[in-house]
Amino acid sequence: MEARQGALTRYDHIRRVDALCDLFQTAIATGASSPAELDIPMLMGLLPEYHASIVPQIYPEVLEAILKPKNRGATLAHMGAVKRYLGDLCAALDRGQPVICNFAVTTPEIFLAMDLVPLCYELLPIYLAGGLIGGVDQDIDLTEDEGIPSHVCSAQKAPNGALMSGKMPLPDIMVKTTVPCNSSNMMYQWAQQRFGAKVVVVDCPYYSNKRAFSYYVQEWKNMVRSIEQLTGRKLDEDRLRHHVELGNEQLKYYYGLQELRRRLPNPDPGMHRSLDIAALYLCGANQEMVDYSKTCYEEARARADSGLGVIPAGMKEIRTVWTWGITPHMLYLPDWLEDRFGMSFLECGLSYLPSEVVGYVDTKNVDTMIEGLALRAFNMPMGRTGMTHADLMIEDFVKIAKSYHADAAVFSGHMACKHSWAVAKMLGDALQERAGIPSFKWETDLLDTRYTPHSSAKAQLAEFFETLM
Amino acid sequence: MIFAGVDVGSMTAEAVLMDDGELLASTVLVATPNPVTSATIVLERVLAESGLRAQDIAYCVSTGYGRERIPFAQHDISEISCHGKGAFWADPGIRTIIDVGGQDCKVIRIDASGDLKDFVMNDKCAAGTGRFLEGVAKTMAVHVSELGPMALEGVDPVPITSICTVFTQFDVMTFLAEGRTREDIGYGVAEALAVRVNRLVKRVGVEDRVCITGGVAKNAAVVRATEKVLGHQVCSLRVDPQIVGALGAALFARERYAKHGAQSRETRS
Amino acid sequence: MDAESALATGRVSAVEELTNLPLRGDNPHINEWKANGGRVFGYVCSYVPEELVYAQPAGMLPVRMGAVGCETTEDADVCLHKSICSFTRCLLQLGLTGEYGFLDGFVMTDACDQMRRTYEYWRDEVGLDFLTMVTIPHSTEGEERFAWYLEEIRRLAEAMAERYGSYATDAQLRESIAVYNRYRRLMLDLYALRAGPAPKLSGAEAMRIARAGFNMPKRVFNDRLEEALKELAARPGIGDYRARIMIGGSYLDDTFLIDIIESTGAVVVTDSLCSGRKYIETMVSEVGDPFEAIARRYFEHTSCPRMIGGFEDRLEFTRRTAEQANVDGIIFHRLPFCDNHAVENTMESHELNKLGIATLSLESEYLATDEGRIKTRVQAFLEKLGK
Repeated sequence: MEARQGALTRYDHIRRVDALCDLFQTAIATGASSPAELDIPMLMGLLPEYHASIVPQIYPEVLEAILKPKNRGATLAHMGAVKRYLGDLCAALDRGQPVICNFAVTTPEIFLAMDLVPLCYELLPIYLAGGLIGGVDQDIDLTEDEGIPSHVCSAQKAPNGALMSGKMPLPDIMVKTTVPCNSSNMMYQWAQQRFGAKVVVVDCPYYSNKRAFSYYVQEWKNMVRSIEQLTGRKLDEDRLRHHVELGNEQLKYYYGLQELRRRLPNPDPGMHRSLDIAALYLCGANQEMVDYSKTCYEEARARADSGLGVIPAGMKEIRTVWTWGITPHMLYLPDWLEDRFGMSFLECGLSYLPSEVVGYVDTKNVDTMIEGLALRAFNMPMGRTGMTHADLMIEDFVKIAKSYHADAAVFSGHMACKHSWAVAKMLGDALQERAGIPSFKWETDLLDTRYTPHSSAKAQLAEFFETLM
Repeated sequence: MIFAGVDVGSMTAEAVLMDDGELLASTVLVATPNPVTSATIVLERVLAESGLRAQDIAYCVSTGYGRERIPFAQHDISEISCHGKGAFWADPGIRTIIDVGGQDCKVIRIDASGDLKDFVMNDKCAAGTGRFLEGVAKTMAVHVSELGPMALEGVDPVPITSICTVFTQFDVMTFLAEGRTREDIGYGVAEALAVRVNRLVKRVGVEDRVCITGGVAKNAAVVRATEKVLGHQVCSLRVDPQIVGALGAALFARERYAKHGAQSRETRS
Repeated sequence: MDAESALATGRVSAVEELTNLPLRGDNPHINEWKANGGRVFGYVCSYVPEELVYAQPAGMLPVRMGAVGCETTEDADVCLHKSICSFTRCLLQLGLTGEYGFLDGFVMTDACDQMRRTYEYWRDEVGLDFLTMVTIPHSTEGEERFAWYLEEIRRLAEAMAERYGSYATDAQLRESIAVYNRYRRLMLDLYALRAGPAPKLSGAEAMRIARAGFNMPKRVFNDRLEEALKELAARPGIGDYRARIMIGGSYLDDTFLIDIIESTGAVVVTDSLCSGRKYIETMVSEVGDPFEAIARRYFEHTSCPRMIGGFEDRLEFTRRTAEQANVDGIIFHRLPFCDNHAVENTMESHELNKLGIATLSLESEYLATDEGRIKTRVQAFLEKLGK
């Protein structure tokens, strides 16, 4: 416990995310179902000074969303899982284990099995941007002050800024899959220059076929070997199996939830997509993450069994597929649209994982596990469509639009995501022609709240959904 | 001996006459679309004010947008060097110059001899320039010169975080509709500009003393906000901040005359 | 002097011919090639193994595509969002409006996110007889990665064989390699003429000659270049320049930036561009299996910033090139939204400045309309250098 306090207080981003979890849990525990029912001064009195100082920075809309009965259970479970992840992270840091930054496409099982500290360094900023007003804007500025221009992706600018200012532990190794983009690849090279961390490349071939996959599996094996050589640590088969089993269990609910979202009405609240995506990046990390996925699934299942949806009663459901993805700094956005316009969130470019392709990892031996994890990574969001012809992304979304009975599509284009923006027109045309649904495109930044202010984003989206109501 | 400096910007044009090391006269006027016309008029005006004739000028250096096309200048030098030179003359303790122009924002670092050490300019975006303030002033239906005094009366600055000038104007309209005072909006806008300027400052670093040049330097609210954001005092110069570029050009004219003598415009640059 | 000698001999000097070669549909070499039954294949990326195409007995001419002269991107903008770099949009514009109608094929790569994502538009909206992609691993470490690339170019050769019934023999490959190596040596000679205290040609002329090299059969070009080198060597050279500048950064085949730099009195004496010196350095081995030798050279030449793990080599390339040409400073250019070069320029500048080499970073569109902005920065940079 004392050891944990070390890393926890030393790295402000870990401490902040941890505190945010406490705050959300505490707020939900009061039983209030809206911010109006919350006694904020009383709440702040209950909290440590550090926590209390964060309260005014929380988006009021986020607080409103998490207190709603449909979001409480999942939020509570998710925050528990994140706290467990952070606790393990801090304990490992305090034991002096090497830190490995794994890009979100590679989930942490292998690194945990090598007794490393897997820090998906894009993820902590995502939580902070989602919960706190302008959560990581300053970190982005720090990186830009070094000469990195605005069109480079904030997913790396934010954590690099945090590393520069000591808010996150410096990595010893960084594992980079070369999907999805030049921007992230360049920023890992920049981080190597800046922080001296060794970048281990997992090369992702162009194409999504058998030849590409067998090459990719070899890349994974080489990655494991490189890390073993760099750290002198061996991959422990039993530990790997333990985490892979947790991951399989987690995915069972994930796939189940995808099925449920195809139902009419959609029984799964939209805000959970952001939490699910984060959970996917931490797949197999701990039992609590499995419990979170189970909670989401069971709650949605219960709703579906009673024929209930998540939009207000009496409202027309606008079933929406989000062809780019979520906008992390607008965590509350799906909930806001759900209750105002009857928008229900089906699937997005950052959540779609084709269960019929990926399935479960075979735990027979180390090779089958590496191969299974590689197959999953090959088809993870960003991994699957980031590095092949645009046709796959288009086919996926046409299929999703049809099988989920979508009424509309929204492309929340992250301005730095050039390869997606190049597809946006073809994708919109295909959805119109082949699935008969309109697409609305708007520009935003993943984490930088100043690119398109929330007020403007809401105004644009409100206009689109009003025409569909 | 008389030396002239002419600075033609996108929004204003300035001319300075110096008699050896002494500032003799200066003029500022609103620029015309044609830089040559602007330069000609502003020089005529400053000559008329000081009772001198064009033939009295021993050497003239032009700077600013269109600096190469000024027919009566013997040489042209970038406004970056000129602002450094002019500011150093006005105060030899100056090491960092922030020039907020109509379309460009520059941060200039000079050494202990007043020579250019490093510089950075904004990218194409209008954020952090005079144009940004003009846009806001237009939205608020006030003259840009009223913005500063108005903003100084503000007590609670509105939060303006958007990077984009268009979105800022949208925000300003929203604040007006919400009933926020013009003073608070002006204050918020000044802070937003200072934040943007500070982003550039960080790229090259800052060393005391710091000054602001260009028309925006006359906006006291921007100066105050910049001091706050930068954490450095902003020194006021003993000359009109708007003529610093032209002043630097005139100083270069004197230097070049001493080195090369009177000459016609070189073909090279 | 060149014009005079042209008058005297009644023929245009080689320098003049090369620096004024008409582009695309007006290019006499391309038209002649086609009139003789040859086919023309476009490419952009320096990872496309040209020798392989050029060696084909069916008569295949690889030409490096550019967008010089493009005036608008209004059609391409319908397809591509504004966050796609302007070179990519200009090139697609020329495709969409039929300017590249003379091409039989286009060999693309996945080197950059922006260009690779126009494959579908070239396929569906432009429509070419032959369109394919050579894909490249993002690191050159490890034989498996080389094997992928080798397989990719084998597939290119097979696809051409299937479509055109043309398959180059080893002897034909060796011949092609010899032509290209000669081309590289001659181009290095051209760089050498710029490295001395009185450069024999301006940076703009050098880029125009390089561009001619992209758009002529290399055999013909080599002969003309050899003559041009003689003409240039006889020149007195440029003596009264203000500073020696090197340029680097995003793909560049238009002289607009060099023109601005040279209008200040500076002279551009070398570069680290993938359309410049990086393109011509490194010979193909003339021993061993020619197919593999070609693959090695293209895979392992000084890398594009998109290659992870190649930074040290790229930095060393820049440093060495700057030193060889005795430059006063380096101007790095980037096209807006070019992530590869934006970050690379920053990284290289950071290290070069530590070595005491001055750098300036600039950003401008492919269709630059803001000459004044750029010139102010260049001029201030020269003033900072005390020039």
